[in-house]
Amino acid sequence: MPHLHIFSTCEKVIIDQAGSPSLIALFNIVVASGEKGVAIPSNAVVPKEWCIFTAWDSESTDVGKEYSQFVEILWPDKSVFTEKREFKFVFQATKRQQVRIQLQAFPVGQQGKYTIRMWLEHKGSVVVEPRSIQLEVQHAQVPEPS
Amino acid sequence: MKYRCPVCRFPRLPYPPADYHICPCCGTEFGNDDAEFTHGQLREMWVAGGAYWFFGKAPEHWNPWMQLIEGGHPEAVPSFATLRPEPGITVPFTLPLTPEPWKLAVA
Repeated sequence: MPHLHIFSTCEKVIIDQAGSPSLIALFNIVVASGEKGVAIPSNAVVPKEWCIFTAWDSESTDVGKEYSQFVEILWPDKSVFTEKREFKFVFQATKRQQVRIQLQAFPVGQQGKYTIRMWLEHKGSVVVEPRSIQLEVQHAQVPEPS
Repeated sequence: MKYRCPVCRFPRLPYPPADYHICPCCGTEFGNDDAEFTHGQLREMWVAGGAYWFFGKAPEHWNPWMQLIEGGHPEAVPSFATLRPEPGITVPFTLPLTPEPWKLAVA
């Protein structure tokens, strides 16, 4: 059964020619500054690239098998921001499987903790139960020029 | 076969954007509305009007801004906010190469 090595979110993941990943700017809290006096709509999304990165270690029995990694993102009120999306991969012998998911949009409409849920399936059955990480977004207003 | 609306980028039009078909998302009537305005102008008008779903009930989890971004028009999304990551709340620590390498020195 595959073992999760890393699951994180950051601004960018660079993978060098040898296949080694570098995670740039891990997210902690993201502050969304709106215009003064203008409320940020509850469904607001900002065009910004960011990444969800996972890496899996395999056992010998996993080699050659196809797995599906699913990811979904929930708003702070637990409603769905992105429906579950599937990313398929096949384990190769002695290789750690890395999955870099690049997103083009960052949700900011709600203040609070966004949940990124991820799990692994094989032939339609869950083999690694959902894991979640949370990403906090705070709202702030741009201060008036002094 | 599904088609993508050239105005709002809704990706699941059941028919080509022509012949007076109407996009259920933005309400553009192809062959009529886009005879008078460009698709870009119609997109601007849809966004200025709030980018609401036009006909019936919107698909579950539908988000107009995601649709525009994923459809290749991030510039059409209003600049709701600028983003600034906050630094980590804990001080990074180093693992010194001492005779006791696994004894952490917390700054």
